[in-house]
Amino acid sequence: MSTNMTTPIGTASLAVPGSGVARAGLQQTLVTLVRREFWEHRALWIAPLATAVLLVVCALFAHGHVQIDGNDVGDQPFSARQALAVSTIAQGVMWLALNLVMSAVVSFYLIDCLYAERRDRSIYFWKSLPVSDGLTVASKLLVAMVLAPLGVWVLAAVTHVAVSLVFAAHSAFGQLPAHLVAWNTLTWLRVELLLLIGVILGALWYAPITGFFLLVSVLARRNAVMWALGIPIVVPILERIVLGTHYLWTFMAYRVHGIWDILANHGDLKFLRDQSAEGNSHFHVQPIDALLGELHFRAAFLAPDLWLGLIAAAAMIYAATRIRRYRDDT
Amino acid sequence: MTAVIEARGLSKAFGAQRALDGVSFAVQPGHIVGLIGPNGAGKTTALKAILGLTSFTGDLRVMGLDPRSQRDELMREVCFIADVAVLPRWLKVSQALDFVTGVHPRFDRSVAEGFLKKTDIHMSSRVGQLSKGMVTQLHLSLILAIDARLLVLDEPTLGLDLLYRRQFYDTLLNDYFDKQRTILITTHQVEEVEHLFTDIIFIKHGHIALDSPVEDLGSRYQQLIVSSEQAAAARALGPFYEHEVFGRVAMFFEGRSAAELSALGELRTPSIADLFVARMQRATP
Repeated sequence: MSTNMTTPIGTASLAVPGSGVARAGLQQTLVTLVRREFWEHRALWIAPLATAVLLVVCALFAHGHVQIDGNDVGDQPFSARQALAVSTIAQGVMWLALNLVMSAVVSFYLIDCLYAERRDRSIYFWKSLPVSDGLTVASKLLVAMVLAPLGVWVLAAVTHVAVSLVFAAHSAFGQLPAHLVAWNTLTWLRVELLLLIGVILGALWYAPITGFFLLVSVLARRNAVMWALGIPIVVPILERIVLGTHYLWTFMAYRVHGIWDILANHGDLKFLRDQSAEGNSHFHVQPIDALLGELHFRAAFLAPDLWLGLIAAAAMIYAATRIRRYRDDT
Repeated sequence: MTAVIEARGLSKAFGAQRALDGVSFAVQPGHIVGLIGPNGAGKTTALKAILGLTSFTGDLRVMGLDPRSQRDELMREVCFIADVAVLPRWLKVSQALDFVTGVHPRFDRSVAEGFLKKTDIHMSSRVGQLSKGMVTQLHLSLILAIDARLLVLDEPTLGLDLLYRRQFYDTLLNDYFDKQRTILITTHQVEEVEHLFTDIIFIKHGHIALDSPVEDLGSRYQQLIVSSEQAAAARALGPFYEHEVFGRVAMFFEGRSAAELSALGELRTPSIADLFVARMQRATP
């Protein structure tokens, strides 16, 4: 290699197209940029994976009794429907637990992703390559809004299957009453579909938070985390002290739970009415997958606040891209 | 032949301080140009303008493109090392190769691997585990494996020991440079690199203090060593800088004929380092 290096490598590689010179299309560039995100922010995949492993390990060592309303359900017969409801609740809870971990990790990722490259000055390396600022920011959005939520959705599904298998094994070895274990593939699939819609709705509804974190990340000179978390805490407190009002706090709380209220029709669902009508004296469980037919998906996806939020998010993301392009920290 | 870089009236101010004050210059293809000046003279600002990393006023064309509005296209033709040690610490050597392979259509991975084989750098190492010299070697291996028409280096050897510096410039000249390429290097360590350049541009307080092909320097500038008795006569010819050397006086002239000077003392062709000192000491033009 060293011998032929004295010949102009430039003309040689230009004259013979594709001679070892990689041809990077837009798609390949984006894939590479996304890979880079997972190299740099390893918590993105390690944290959810570790949580999932922990859940399975907990299931492995699980023992004891399940109590409902003070009655040891291990002793009294448990209907198949109740067992399935417990399994389905576990399915949702695991997804929720993994989502909480993912949300925390993704938040810190977003706050860090445009800040770290300026802090360690690696931005001069990234910017020396033919990758536009738009594509760079797009890769970060792809990770935060699509790949991480979808990845965690798949991971939660796999985890639930694994935990179910562990419980089936417990039951086979007589460590768990058989009537506590239930599996219904159709129910499982319907719940997964329900959760997937939740993933999509969540990604869209929380897009303004994503945009805000990116904007802080690109603007902060130091302590990006402090700015990102400090502003939403301090500004409402200031409003309370100075103006005596709490509009901001109400607004922020709404931006956290609002879409789920709309989805659940503010708690006015036949599912919930039936559940409370049955009261606590009898342990009856409505099939949770029935929710799929009852939730107000149309209203949620057409909610003006969802779309206003998306417009605000787009504006903040555009601003972050422009600022990354022209920011000069000399 | 159209210029690779053409700057006209390039200006940039940071508050009241003018980093570049109406600078004009051109860089021709196939040349190795040294942009030389003391710290804070405006070198880095000029480079950042060329690379589309900072805003500026004036007219600037790089490979016929405007770095402000056409930066993405420009980066396909231009490579740069803005500073040493800007590779992120978490990056593995193999990942660095994967990344540049994935995003740069003109990167030849086998060339980069060939450069790396000549070093002690392991594929599985992270940048954070490498010495500063090795990080520079890695960065250089990546950048020199890109088939770019313009290479821009900002103080590429800053903080490196002599061995690495020598290696760096040898690689640059022997393995990389050819007449298809243009290299622009900023430095304030003139002595080491003066044999490297085909052209030099001195920059001082945001102004160009000298802009010349190296081969013309000998006919344009003269250094005259005179005894103190002859000093007054020599001074009458208008040197732009003088300093004392062992009881004699070294004077620097521009555009004087050898005949009229050699009568007064010992005539020499000034080195770039000498010229640099002479030019930088003089008041701003």
